[in-house]
Amino acid sequence: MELLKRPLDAYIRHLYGPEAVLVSDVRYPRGSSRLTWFAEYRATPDAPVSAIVLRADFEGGSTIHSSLEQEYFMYERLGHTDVPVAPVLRWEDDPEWAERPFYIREQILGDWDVPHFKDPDPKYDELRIAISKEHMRKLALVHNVDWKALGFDTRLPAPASVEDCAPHFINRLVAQLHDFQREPMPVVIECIDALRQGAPVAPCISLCKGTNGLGEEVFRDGVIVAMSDWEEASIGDPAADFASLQDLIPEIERDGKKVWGLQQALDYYGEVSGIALPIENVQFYLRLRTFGAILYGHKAATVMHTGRADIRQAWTGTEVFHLAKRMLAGATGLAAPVDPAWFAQMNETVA
Amino acid sequence: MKPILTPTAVEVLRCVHETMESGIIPSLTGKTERSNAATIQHMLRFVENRMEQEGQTLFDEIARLRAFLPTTFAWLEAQAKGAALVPAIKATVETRRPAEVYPTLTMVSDDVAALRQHVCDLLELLHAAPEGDAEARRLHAEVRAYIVWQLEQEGSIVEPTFVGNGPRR
Repeated sequence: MELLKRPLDAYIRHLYGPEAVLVSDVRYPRGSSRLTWFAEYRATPDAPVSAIVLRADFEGGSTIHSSLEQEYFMYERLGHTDVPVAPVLRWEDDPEWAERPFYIREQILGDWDVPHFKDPDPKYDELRIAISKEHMRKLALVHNVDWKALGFDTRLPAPASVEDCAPHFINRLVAQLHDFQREPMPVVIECIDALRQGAPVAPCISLCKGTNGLGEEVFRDGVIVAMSDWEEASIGDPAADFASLQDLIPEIERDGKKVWGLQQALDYYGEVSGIALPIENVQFYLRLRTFGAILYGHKAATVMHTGRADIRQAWTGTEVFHLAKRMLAGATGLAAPVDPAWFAQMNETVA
Repeated sequence: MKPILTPTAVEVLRCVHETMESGIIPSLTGKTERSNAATIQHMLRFVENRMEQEGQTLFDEIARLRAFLPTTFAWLEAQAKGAALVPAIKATVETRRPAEVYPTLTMVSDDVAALRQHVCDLLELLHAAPEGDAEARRLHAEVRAYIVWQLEQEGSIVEPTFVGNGPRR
């Protein structure tokens, strides 16, 4: 395993005792921001199988601007809340073992996929709405975390007020880009002012997950048992999470009547969270999302410069980066919007 | 017969791509390996397309910006923060690389990057110009048209590389 200087089975014995046995290990193939390995072991040859996840930056650096330490911090802090997350087990930076720092968390039994969730057949409507509501309930938990009491703001900068949430969000992204920017981007300079227009007031200041939805959460029997991928977490308008939400709010119309969609999901979310979130706030953060995509596209491109990039970063730094610039131009009215079919292709995985 | 030096770098890349497709990928059984191979194939195609098109694309951009940027000098010189930019832009626009040194893609990219940086600096000032400044509005419209054109130029390499060519990972 590329994260270790010595074989994984020896590391498992180092962690869990001389009788511990490595059962399996596999690298998660889809990961494009960080490296994820799954490993199974038995503490003794007769013990039940335990499963862990090892997370690290790619060798050349992370595609995401936030640090691996921050991701570890998020899991550790979230362990003190009602939000379902995998318990974090260990930060590893012992030079005897680690090629580079990584952390270990428990692997939660379940699946990121929900069979038939994307199937438009009306017989799956009930399932799709139930899953969507489940996600709303879990987002409500995240957004009601007492971030101040738990010290999340010691790592994640917090806006000063509900009025400051949107400017704070944009300024944070601009500052992050300046940290690593190598390429002059006229499209960013041109569009950033347009992005600032119409900034809404947040209904409250919440802990936000960042990327969420299908592919980011672990489901078991229709319930989210673990929320993963906290690398883009922030503090601000909860609308930002609805703009980063993948697939879990399906638009369903039957007999000319809208039965589910963003507004219905926001209404339900309002009931379970107590947060009245205007749809206009979500639309504003959807436009900002295009700028976020530029950040990770360009970050991946800059990692290429180290000569130690992962092949996935080569893709993110080329197609994704280009598409992000086109999306930004489209979202601010500078150029035609990008064909949604292009996005759909990018999410396909080899069979 | 048209004389050429063979094989070209693009031909070698295509051969590598084909060999991966027919001689290596079918034998891969692990999902991670197949996923990485899919990305590799896209990236090989990207390099192929880029080798064929990038040089002219960059030359076109240099020509466009070398023609456009001097038209901003009069307006810039009338701006408190603009006058200082003019000598730097002029130097970039007028500098030519020595004819006896082959201009590698990296060198030409550096030239484009320097010109784009000037566009960024100009844009900041154009955004700060008062509403009634007609010349600023005209220049701004030209810069916006350039940005759209530049993205299309970039897209002419990126789109055919990826779109319709299967899963990326």
